[in-house]
Amino acid sequence: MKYIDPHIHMSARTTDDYERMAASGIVAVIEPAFWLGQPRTNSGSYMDYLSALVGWERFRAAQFGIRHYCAIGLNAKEANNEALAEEVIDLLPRYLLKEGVVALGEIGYDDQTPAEDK
Amino acid sequence: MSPRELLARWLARQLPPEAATWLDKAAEQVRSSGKDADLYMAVSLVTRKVGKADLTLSDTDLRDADSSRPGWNPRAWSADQAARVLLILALEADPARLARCLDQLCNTADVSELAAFYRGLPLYPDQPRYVARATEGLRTNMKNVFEAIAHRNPYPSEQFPEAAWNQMVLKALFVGSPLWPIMGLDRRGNAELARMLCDYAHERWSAGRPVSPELWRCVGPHASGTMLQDLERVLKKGTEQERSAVALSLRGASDPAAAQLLSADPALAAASRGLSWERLVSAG
Repeated sequence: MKYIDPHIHMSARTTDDYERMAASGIVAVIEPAFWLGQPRTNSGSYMDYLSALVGWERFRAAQFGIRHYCAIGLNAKEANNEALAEEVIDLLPRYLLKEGVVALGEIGYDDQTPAEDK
Repeated sequence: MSPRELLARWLARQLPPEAATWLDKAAEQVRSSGKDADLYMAVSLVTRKVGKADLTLSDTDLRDADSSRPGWNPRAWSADQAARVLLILALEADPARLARCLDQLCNTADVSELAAFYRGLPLYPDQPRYVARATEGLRTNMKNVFEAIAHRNPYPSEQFPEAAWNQMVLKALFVGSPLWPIMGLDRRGNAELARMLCDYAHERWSAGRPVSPELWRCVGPHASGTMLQDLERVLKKGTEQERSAVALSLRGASDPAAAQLLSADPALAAASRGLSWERLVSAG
C-alpha cells in the first residue's frame, strides 16, 4: 500500500521519521508553511524558512525516495504584523512558481482581525 | 560561439517547438525588460516549461563547449539546468547586475535550481566575482549541490585561494564524494593540503574507520617528514586498492625519500603503471 501524506510539517521532524515513513509506504508529502511557535520578526527569517522547504527538505525527503511538495503562504498568525506581512507578500511570488510548490497555504484565521482579512 | 549561444543552440534542437519558443521569449524578456522579477519568474518556471530530460550532447558538442570556454564540461547537464543558466546569461552584458541577481536567485532557490546555478559558475562574466558565492555554496549539506561546484567544474581550481581549495577537497572526502571528478586536483595540490589530509587519515584510523584511497593522491606529490611514514604504513598494511593508490600518488613525488618508497617495491610500481584514478576508484 502506498500513501501520500497531504499535511505534515517535516521541518519540525527528524530524519529518522523520514526513514520510518518510507518504510510504511509513504511516497510523497505536502508540507504547508506554518509559523515557528512564536512570531517571526522580519521577512528574512521567512525567506530562509521558505527556501529550506524547497531546498533542504526536498533533498532530505529524496534521500528516502519520498517526494516533498509544499504549500507556501503567510500564516494568519503573522498577518497581524502588517509591515512584515506586506514584505512577505512581496516575497511569495519568488516561490509560487517553483517545481515543488503545489498550493498557497496554510491559510485561515487566527483572531479574525481586519489585518487578517486583508 | 559563446557558451550562451551554444546552450541556446542545443536547447532549440532538443526541445519541442512550444517549449523552445517559450524559452526564447523569456530570455529576450529578461535581456530587455530591466526587471529582475522577470528573471526570477522565468527561472522558476523552467521545469514546468522545459522538463527535466538530460541535455543530449554529441562529442562534437562537448568539443565546442571546451573550445568556447576551456574546461567547461556540460556532459552531465540536464535541459532544465541548461535553460536556467541560459536565462541568467541573458544578463551577461551587465556583470554587476548578473551577480546581484544570482545572489537573489540562490537565496530563494530550490534544490535543483541551486545545482544549476552553480554548474553555471564557469560561464558567468567577470569570473573572480563569484568566489564568495561558490564557497558559500560548498557549505551546503545537499550533496548534489556540493558536487555541482566541486565536480567537472573548472571554477574552483581557477579561482579559489588555497584555503578554500583545501577545504573543498577535505569536505569531498568527508561527505563521501569521489575526488577524481574534481578538475585541477593535481595542479592545485599543496603541502598544507597534504598535511590536513594526513591528519584526517589519522582521525579515521584512530576511530577504526576506512580511509578513501583517493586521499593519497593529494599526499604523495607533497609528502615529507611524518607523511612519508603514513604512506609507508599504507604500503605495508593497506588493502590492494590502497597500496595501488599510494603507488599512483608517488609517481609524482618530488621528495627523493618518497620516490624511493615506490622503487623499493618494483612489483607494485609495475602494477600501478597504466592505472588511472578513475579506474582505481571504480574498481574498488
